[in-house]
Amino acid sequence: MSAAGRRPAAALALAVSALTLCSCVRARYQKITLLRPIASAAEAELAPGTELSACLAQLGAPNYVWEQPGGAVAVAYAWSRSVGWGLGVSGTVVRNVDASFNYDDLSADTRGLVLWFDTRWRLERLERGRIRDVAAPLGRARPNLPTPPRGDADARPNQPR
Amino acid sequence: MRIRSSARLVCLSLAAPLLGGCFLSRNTVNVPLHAERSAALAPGRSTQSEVLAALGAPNEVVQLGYRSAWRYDHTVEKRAGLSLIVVTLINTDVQQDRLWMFFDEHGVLACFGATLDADEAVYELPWSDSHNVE
Repeated sequence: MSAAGRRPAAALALAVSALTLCSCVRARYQKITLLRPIASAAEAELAPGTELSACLAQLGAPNYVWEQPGGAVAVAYAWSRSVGWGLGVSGTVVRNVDASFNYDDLSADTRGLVLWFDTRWRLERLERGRIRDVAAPLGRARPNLPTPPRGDADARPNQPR
Repeated sequence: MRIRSSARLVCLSLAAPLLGGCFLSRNTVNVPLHAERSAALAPGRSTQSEVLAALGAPNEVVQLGYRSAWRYDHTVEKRAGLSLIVVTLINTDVQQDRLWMFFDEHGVLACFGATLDADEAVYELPWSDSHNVE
């Protein structure tokens, strides 16, 4: 290679070195584990008609509980795992992953298991998948009070005793 | 000879900061949940007042018709990283203690579920995998 041909290559190498040495360009490899997945074996033991208490004993405490019409309930278990490279320039990471767990904001990577229970809190069905898709119709509904039972006029539900 | 040793020392001193370093960080949300406190509560007998006395105020209350559910949680996030000149390797592990208490329409504990995993959050580098993730 001639001296003239080497000059641009040397300049490029110098520029890259200068950028990296002053930490303007950084590469990041990041793994994020959020909570534990529900084992398929534990899920397989649940059949329609199983009581909520038995499901909780089998799977532990869910991450989400949603009210359903008439006093029915849906619960969800969530987890996620992200692994990936990112490249940052001048401190701005081009691709990054959020490590925080927020009850109000499900990320696209969050997977989960959603269980629907009837008004007697017996399992109707369950579904596994991206929790934002599976649980999309559930959301945070306003309280949906069922008709009060007859002859129970003196009952004061939900008063601490 | 002395000049060569000094040059080596200077080179090492200059190289040391470039080799970067490692870091650990830990974040927690809320106080840890204690299994023995929830174990003392009995479905069908314990009332909301007793749950309040045992566990304190919940982090969330969900109305379920005339029934309700209360959530208690404690989150631990452990982060370990290694920085080598221009490459940074980071691992973040977030684990949680959770407790959901379900009450009937009379405010009596119907059932509850507990998950106590916060202590299992680990410091490790990205190529390690101490949790068996499916």
